Amino acid sequence: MTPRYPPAIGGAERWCEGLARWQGAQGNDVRVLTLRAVSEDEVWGPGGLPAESVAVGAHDRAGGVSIRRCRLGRPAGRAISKLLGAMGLHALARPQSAELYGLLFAGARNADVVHVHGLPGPHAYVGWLAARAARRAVVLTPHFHAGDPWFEHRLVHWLLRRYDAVIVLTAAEATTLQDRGVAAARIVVASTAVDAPVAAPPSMPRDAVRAALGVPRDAPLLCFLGRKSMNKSLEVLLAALPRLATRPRPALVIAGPGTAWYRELIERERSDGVIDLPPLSEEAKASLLAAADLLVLPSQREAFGIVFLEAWAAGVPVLGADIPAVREAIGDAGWTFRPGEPHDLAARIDALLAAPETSRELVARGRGRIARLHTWAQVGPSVMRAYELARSLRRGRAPDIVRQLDG
Amino acid sequence: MQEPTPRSRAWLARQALRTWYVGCDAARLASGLGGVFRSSLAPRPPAAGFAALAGEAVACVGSPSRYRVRVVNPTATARTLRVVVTAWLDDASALSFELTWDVTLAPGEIAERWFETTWRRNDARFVAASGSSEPPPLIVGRPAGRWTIETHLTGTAPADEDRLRISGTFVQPHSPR
Repeated sequence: MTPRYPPAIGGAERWCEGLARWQGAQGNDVRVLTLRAVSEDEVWGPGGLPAESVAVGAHDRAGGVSIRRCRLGRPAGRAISKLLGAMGLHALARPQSAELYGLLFAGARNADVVHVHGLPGPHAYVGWLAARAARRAVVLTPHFHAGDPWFEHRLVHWLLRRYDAVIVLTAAEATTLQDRGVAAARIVVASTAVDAPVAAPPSMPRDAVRAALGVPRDAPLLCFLGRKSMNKSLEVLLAALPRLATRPRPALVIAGPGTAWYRELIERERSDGVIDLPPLSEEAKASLLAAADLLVLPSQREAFGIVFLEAWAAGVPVLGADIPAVREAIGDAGWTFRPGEPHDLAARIDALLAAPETSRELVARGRGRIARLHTWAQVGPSVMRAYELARSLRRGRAPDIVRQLDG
Repeated sequence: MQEPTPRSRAWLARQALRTWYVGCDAARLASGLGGVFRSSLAPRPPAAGFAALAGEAVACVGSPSRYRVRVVNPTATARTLRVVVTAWLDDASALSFELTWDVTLAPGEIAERWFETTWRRNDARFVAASGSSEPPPLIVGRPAGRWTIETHLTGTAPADEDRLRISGTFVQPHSPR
């Protein structure tokens, strides 16, 4: 179960889809329960903002995976919202789906494993409860954002400790969860992957993309791809833009689904050289990346940053905030900057744009990392081991599995 | 007995309002829990209908834009659907085009069709999924209006599930530098 599933955009959503398809291709019967929500605001924001150019129905089947999308209800009422807010549990006041929860209780009885994706919404509590009621193993991929108050509530930590197994994307996330009391033996590091072929070939030549964007041929093109949400710290990137010394002045494309937060930001921080684009198709994304000189992900809260893999695949160097998850995701194949510091970000952008040979080396290393670490053939089996661990824990045979995992 | 002062009347009004909110929330909570039980014990039977309607968010009048509509039959019997696609500019009064697609789906079958339009009146047609004249995927420019596409099924009782709607922006492309 996951609150949103592709075509909804996001790293967690892509992870779910990639995993479900891989599991389906291995002969498993994979059933995804999710919401009929495409945009982030429908689930986490003020609500009432449906996705613009994509709409989804109740049923679908893709890549051997059966998808059931449930109607999204209204947010909690005024009194309950106030109560939950006073307790710091704002995430639980977001829109709920009685249909989703009912189907989950029914579906858990027929499942071998219930796999819940994402925190800190109410679905994570109901998923755990439904699996417990049906006496089934339950696994969580939290996509944990360390430091985010919604994730750092003690009830969320309590829930994390209750899952049979927890799948994380980086060793840094594993350490974070251990610090929150999750037993090391229950945590499985599975990383993330991009589908092969790793990126669609660009259907528009580089110069045509630049002409369409109105960017002069010799101006460097910076690119941000992803949800335009508060977690992505786009305000840092916008603040860095006027501080760049590179000439001609670089243009910045910000492409992805908008949020109410971003609409306010862009109104307030009107900057020259910013090209704001809606969510792009895979073809358009590939064309944009192929025309870009640098991908920047300024997020201060990130579980991984799958866009780094997409950028490497398209031949674009990457720059991310120096936080544990991003540091581990990038490794030696990209540069980082001090999180939240526009001066440092601007200096790093200038330095990387001035060193094309270094950029090429970084991209080559990034492509090597994809081949070595980020294919579903590597990530999928780790997830299946987590399922085995969870099932063994249910059956009371955990020590064998834990020994195997340690071995 | 002492008459209530204006202040205590205000206090009473506040308490009445709070009680009303709590009552409304309690009713919604009860209804939600009822919905969970209903959905768990007697879920709505699956029905053939739309899986997705999607396209690029940005279009340019006069240039081809491509969209796809996908239908699915999750039931155990074959179903015939009549899919109607309607599109309009800016507001519902300016209908741009209407397309109809009759499709019979075997149990568990999925079907998808692409359609292309230049957003000139009645200039729309179903096309192959990948043609030789692919529209450019990246169109950027100054906003110049809105488009809306809606798909619905005819011949069945209309419900939310039988209707999908998407919308996007028309742009005036940049002149090349």
